[in-house]
Amino acid sequence: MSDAEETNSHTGFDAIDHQPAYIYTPTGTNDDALERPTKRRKVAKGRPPVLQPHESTNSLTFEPLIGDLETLDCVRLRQDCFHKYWSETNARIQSIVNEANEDTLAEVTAFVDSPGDINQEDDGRVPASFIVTGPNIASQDLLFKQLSARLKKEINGPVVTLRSGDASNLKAVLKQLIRDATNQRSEDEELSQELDGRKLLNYDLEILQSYVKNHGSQRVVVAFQDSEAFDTSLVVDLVTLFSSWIDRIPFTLLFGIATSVELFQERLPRAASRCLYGVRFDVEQTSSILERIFQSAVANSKASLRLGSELVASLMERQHDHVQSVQSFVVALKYAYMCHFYGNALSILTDASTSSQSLFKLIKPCHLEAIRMLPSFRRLIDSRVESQELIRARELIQDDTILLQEIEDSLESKDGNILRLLRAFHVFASALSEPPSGIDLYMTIFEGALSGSDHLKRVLDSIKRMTPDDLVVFTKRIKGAIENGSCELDLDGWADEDEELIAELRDVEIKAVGLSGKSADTEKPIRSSAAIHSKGLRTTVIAQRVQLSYEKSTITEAEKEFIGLIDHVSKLLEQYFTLENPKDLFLNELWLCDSADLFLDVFAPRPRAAIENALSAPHEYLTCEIGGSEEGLSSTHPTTAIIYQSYLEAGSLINMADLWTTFQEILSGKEGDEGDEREALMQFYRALADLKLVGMVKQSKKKADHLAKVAWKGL
Amino acid sequence: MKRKKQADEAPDTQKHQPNQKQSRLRSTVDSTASEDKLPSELNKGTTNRRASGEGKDSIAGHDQSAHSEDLQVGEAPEDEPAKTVGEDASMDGKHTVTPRKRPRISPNQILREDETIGTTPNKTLNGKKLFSTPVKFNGTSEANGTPKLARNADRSARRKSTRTLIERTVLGNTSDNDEEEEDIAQHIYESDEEGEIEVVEAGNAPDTPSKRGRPKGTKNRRRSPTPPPQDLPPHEKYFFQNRGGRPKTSDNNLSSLALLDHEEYFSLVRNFIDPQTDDIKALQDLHAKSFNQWEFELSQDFNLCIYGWGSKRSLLMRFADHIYKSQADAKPKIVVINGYVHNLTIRDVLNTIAAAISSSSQKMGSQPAEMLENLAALLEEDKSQTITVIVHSIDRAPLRRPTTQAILSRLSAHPQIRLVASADHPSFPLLWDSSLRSTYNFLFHDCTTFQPYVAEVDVVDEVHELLGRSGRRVGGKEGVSFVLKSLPENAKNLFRVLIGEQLVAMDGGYGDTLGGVDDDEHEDNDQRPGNLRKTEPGVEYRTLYQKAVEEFICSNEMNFRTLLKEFHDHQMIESRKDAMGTEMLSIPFRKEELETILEDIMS
Repeated sequence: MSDAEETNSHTGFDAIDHQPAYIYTPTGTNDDALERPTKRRKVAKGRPPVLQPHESTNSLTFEPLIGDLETLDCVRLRQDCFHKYWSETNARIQSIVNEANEDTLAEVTAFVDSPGDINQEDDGRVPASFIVTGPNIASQDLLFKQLSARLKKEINGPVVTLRSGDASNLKAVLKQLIRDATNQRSEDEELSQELDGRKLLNYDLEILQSYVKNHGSQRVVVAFQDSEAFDTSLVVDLVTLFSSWIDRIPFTLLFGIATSVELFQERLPRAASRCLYGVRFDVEQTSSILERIFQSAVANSKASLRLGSELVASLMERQHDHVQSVQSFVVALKYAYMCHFYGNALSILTDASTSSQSLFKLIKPCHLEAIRMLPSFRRLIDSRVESQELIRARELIQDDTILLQEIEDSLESKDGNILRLLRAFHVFASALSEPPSGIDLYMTIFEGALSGSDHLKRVLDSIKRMTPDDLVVFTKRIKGAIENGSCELDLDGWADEDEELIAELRDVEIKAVGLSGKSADTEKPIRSSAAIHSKGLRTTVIAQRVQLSYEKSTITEAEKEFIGLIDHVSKLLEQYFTLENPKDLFLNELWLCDSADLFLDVFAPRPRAAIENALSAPHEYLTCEIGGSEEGLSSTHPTTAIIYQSYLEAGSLINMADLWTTFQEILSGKEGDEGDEREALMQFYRALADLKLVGMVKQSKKKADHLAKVAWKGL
Repeated sequence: MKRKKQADEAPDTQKHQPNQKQSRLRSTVDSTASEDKLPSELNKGTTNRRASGEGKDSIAGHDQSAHSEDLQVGEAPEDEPAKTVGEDASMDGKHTVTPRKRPRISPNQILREDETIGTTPNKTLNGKKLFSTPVKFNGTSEANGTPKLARNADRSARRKSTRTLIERTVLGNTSDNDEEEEDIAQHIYESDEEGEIEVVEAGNAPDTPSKRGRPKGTKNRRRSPTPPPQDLPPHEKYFFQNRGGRPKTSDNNLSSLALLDHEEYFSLVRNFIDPQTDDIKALQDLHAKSFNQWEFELSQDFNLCIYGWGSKRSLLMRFADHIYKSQADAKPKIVVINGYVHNLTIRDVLNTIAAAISSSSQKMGSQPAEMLENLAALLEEDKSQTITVIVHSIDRAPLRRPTTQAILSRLSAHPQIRLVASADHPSFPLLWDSSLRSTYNFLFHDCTTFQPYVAEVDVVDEVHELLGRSGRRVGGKEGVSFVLKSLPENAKNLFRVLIGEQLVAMDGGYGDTLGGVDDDEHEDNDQRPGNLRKTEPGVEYRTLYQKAVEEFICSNEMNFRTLLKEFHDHQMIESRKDAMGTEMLSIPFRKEELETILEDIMS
């Protein structure tokens, strides 16, 4: 094989292509490969204006947009914005992530420090902590990293984390354990390997023992990160081995458990589980961490970029159905920031801190032109036209200064609008004793659909079921939310801005208190309005006939007043929660990121669809010369595509001879008779090898010279 | 249970009775008509009878279809169909008396029927009266006894076969080894089907418009549509193409075609000018436009994975150039890994990266995990440097092992390592579970380049493997004889023995897969019982050794091994373990080629 290749390596063949791994240097030996010099020239030619600034400003990684019309200042501004905003958001997220595991970390550390077993005589049992992480194996990594960092800091002794992937057999695990444990502080591994003149094997635990003795370590912590993935017999061996060494080496084990301790115990034989004693630790589950991250990073009032409901929905779906990991959500969020500032030239206007004057200096006609292309601008014009302000609409389209004015206005009002949404979000979430999930609520609000949503209906229904005392609690909660704001969302209290509502609520509260006081005096409890209505209907069966009668007589004055009160509160709330759809706001594209397609492609690729599409519709990628647009076979298509078309039409068994005949006919259709059979055969070979590469065919054993079809398009 | 079944069936049979009646009547009338008009037809009485038998059979078939539906629910009692048919027969006797209509039958139509019948001789067994007189009828209904039995036996076999076919389709296991069973099933099933088709022809004949024909017709049309249906949804297409029965492909083979060898292939490739070159280039330029974005993504601690049709090698190399240029002063370090190279190991990857970090040779250790840690320590020394690792075809066999992927992912998670990978296979995301995926932190980009896989695939070898002619690797039979010429006599003799044994195995019941026998004999082979079908013909290691000892080729196993090693080195033999774990040796050639090689050796 290699002989054949060597003799044929005249052109197009590069020895370096078949080298397993090498360090690449463009100026090196492989420079004479055919395509490369031309390519480099092409790149240089393609973007001369970009290349110049690149050399001058090395730190600049962003590209000028709007057809290179954007000035460098804008580009830099965008880049700075990205770094600034993302690092802010990231800091908030990280603090939550660290905080979330804080309890677990502290508990585990305390346990490791003093296993707390009172009757710790030498029964050879190894202290173990079982950390139930839940099914989210992706975040185990983070947790164990945090754990080992924490333990290393606080415990005097080595910490070793074992992963199932590295642990093939007992010897390898012990080797790794000893290496990791002893390398942590000193490099003198050579020293420890010799003891009393004896040469110790590198998996002898005596090395560890002498290390522990020399360093006076209190604990040797061994963590099994994904304990379920370990071979059971290996775990058993390790546990029994550790327990036999426990009198000499103070082992402490950590097990990361994705299922439950019971299942873990079931897997272990009694001989092993008898060697362990320990405590179970629960880790905060992904969903609750996620909720908190969401509140602080997306719904936070200081977050400069907001995710649209569509995007959040697709992210959440992915969370629930596929990944279930906090990291992947954070990564997606980061990507949203990256996209926004990298790909959106108008994102310079996202920057709220820059004074508008300096900002408007940056704005060039090209930006204004881009703004005029925005859907929200179109909506603005539409609304102007509808309200018969035709002149204004025309001015907006034609006059740059007017448009600038409008932009300035909308940027100023932007913060207020968002704040209004977030306040509603907060009030809503805190008004209920069992609030809906923050993410759901956010999605509803940012769809502009809260006023008609189930969430609101549920609130209004619950009000109807309230007694005066409940109502007092309820209004107090709302008032409290408004006055105190929220620290998760970074909302300050805004009692002075919502004075009307506060006053109304206070009014209601006083009345309700009065009512409940009165009812306490008269010892006649005031029923909730729902109770009144539902009890009002009476059924009596008289002489086999049903009589429905409304019971009105029992409604007291106080109750009547209370019903009025309830209606008033409902109306107030309905009004308060009638919010504008953020997507209807002018320039919402500047601060709202909402394109789910992009994310799906980048994080959840569909390679199979891509390959199938490329092969079945090559004309979407290539021009295919004549008749490129038409479907079906054409000799100008890439050969693999031709074969693939026949492949699709064939049954589950494909006769190669027939395939070859067909292929030859299609190819010769183009070239007439001059088509060289051998050349066609070469292309045929290539196409077949391609199909085999992507796993679509395999040799069939049913018949000679037949292919078995393996993949069906679109399945 | 049984009663219930019958009750269910009762309306069914009744429904059919009117039709039956009609057809019976017609047949009697027809017989008289033909006697009047065409005396020459008298001698065709038998064939006519046959046709009517077909008619009856079709009814039975109808019942049968009801049964087969039952079968899916539970098992129907075996004797039941016999009963119903028996009733049918007795009813026939009653109703055949009153002629009413006189539909005409043209002679050529009858002729046509004859022809069709002629093709299926197995139908004659059930053949009965079409143009018989009422008198004769009684006789046949009595004489029904034996054929009925046969038919019942036939039917229960058919039912079983239906069940097998259904199971096959439902379970979808159309693997190779259970094929002969399927074959029998299909055979039985088809024997029924063909009968029905004939009936349809009779029924659809212009002169005898019968109701009976129609449901049959629709059924048949569904079962064997001549033009394959277009625009089926994907899942339907799957089931259509995987429907029961052996796929009908022609018996053409490529034996007449002179296959390409490496030399010819490469010389052709060199002279070939792809008409799409410009388009492909344009496509690549398009992808190259996002290099800047990729770089930004890399700088934000993401890793990249590009996928899509076509070789992405040159695109990534171009990206490497781009990285190199964009950081002109820092001299970025780029390590290229060719994932498609067969002998690539994860150690190569880690060693090369270590070499890129510091030129002085470092002690890396032997275990990949250990090496990775040492690598991380190396990277710590200079926090400012970043290494870009470009992995071509990360999804190819050398890197596919889970442990390798785990190491790679941990490598890529290092903040100073940026990984750019390309993946070719349509199912490559299956390589990674959610943990690996989040460690990799990939961003995926669709880069369909349409470039030929030049370096990635050894086209000739791959295709020959598809063709089952991997023996070509040695250089065909000429190569084999060349090698043999340079070997000692003993080796030649051993090879001769091996060929002989393998030929015997090929002729024997081992199933013929490499041999180019594609006619009926081949089909027969398929039907042979035994799971050996799946395995290619080969000779057991032990057997060969015994033979060799017997023929004084070698005296001990060491000797034998040495001789075999020579063949292995020249890839003249293949060795593999079968399901039982016994080592099987085989020569990767087809039967005819083996024969010529044998002749060469003997001469």
